[in-house]
Amino acid sequence: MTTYKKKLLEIKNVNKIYKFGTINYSTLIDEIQEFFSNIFKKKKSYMTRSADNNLYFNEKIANKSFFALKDINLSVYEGQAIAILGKNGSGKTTLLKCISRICFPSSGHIEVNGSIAPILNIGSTINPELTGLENIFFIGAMYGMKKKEIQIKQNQIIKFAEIEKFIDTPVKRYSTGMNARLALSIVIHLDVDIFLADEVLTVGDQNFKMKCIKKFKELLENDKKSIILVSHEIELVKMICTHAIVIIKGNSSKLMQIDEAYDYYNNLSN
Amino acid sequence: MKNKIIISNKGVTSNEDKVSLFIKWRYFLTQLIINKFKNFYKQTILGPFWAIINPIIFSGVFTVIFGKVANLPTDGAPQFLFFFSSVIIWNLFRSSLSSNVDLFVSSLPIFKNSYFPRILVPLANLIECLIIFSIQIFIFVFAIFFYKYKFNFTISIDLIDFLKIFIILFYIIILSFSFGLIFSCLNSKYRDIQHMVNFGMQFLFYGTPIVYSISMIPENYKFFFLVNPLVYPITLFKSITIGSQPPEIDYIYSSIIILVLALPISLKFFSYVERHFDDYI
Repeated sequence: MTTYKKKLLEIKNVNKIYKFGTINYSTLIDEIQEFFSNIFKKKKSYMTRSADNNLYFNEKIANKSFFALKDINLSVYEGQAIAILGKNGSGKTTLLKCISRICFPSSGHIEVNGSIAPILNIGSTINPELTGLENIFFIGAMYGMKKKEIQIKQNQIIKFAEIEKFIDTPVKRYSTGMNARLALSIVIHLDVDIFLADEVLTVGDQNFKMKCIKKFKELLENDKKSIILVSHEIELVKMICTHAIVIIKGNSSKLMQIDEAYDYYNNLSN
Repeated sequence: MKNKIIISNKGVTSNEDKVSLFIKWRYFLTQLIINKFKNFYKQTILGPFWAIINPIIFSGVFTVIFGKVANLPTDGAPQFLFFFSSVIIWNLFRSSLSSNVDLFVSSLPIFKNSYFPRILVPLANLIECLIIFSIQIFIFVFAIFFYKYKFNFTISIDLIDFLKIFIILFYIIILSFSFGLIFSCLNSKYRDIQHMVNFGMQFLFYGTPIVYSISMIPENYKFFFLVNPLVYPITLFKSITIGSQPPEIDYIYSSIIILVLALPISLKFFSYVERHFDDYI
């Protein structure tokens, strides 16, 4: 039986280039020259595509730059949970950043057909001077929630984070675990179509982890949300995701079943 | 119906217009402003009273140093009022500019974690400065009335003058906002800017008739004041509120030219940097 599924996200030929080393040039003269050449000269293309459909840098910048992402293609439909596997520094987070508009791809494009909640650097957005409740309102608003929505979900969020007693205490007096639980609990209650979760399952104790997984599964099955998950904890990923892609040094594999993807990934690292 | 957006290296294309975006994010804007005030006055006893105390102390110090010791003329206005009106209008410019200079550096945690229109953060800084200014101008009006009854100080303000004051405030806000944006964009790559702005502010403070009257400008240095965009609005504000000497019309040209150039450049520059700041911050 085939059911109609809405395509929420389509990533087409996305590349992202970063430069090695420090950004600033060595001298002021270099910097000024660079500035004027940017204004007056035509924008040069950084890359060329060879006959075998592979991308190469132009000679001038080849030893200064690298591909953080190279020709990524991915489509995400509603209700889908996709894991991104890969070693540290292989471009997983960069991909999530590009999807969530925090940075922009160097070429290619991403079509988003819904709302997105990036959960990238969980806990860093929490303002330690404010109380737990004030933080709920601030972060909720930062993700585009309206005041009424937050008021409705407020009790759910507090209950999920298990911090009922401390909700009027400034967050700077919270423990690390409480801090992270609060942040995650706000984001998990957002009414968005796609969650981009980067290493969120490392938060909290076993109990809380299982609660998060249960919540994610509910979101997937009942509310038809989508999740793109980055995590190194194999067992937990397998509980949520059905499919996965593997990214190796910016190159992505095709979309695979989760077990197949893990075999592929393990064979590579051996 | 959800909006469809396309992200590419040119930025984001979507069918949402600016107004609906603003309506969508207005609650976050209020949260940012509330947050700023809470951060500012957390664990203080006097809290928002600092906004009142600050200009009073500064104009007191100026009255002693520039008024009593240096004996600068104030065009017949009471010295304390002269310095009070200078301090609040200068503070509006200085605070709204310098609050935005390290924008990308100080807001990095929230910028790196989620997407929202980045312009909301400088806008919140600006509104915060405006709120503080409106408290201060309320005290200033109170001080004028005090001097009126106590020392027979007379000043008459008609409707046109009111309009002029609003235009001056609007001008100063836009000017400081656009320069704040330009400096914040430069500062995201070259951290030298935040040090340079500190010096620049000092130069501008003494290069604008703030602690002295415009009548004291020597003829052979007039050129430096002609290119300073702050001379006209600040002296006009002072002449309306406390009756010091009004500026000549020559000073208005640089103000207009610089504003017309600065605002579009700053918005263009900001929209470029908000796409790329993650690559080089």
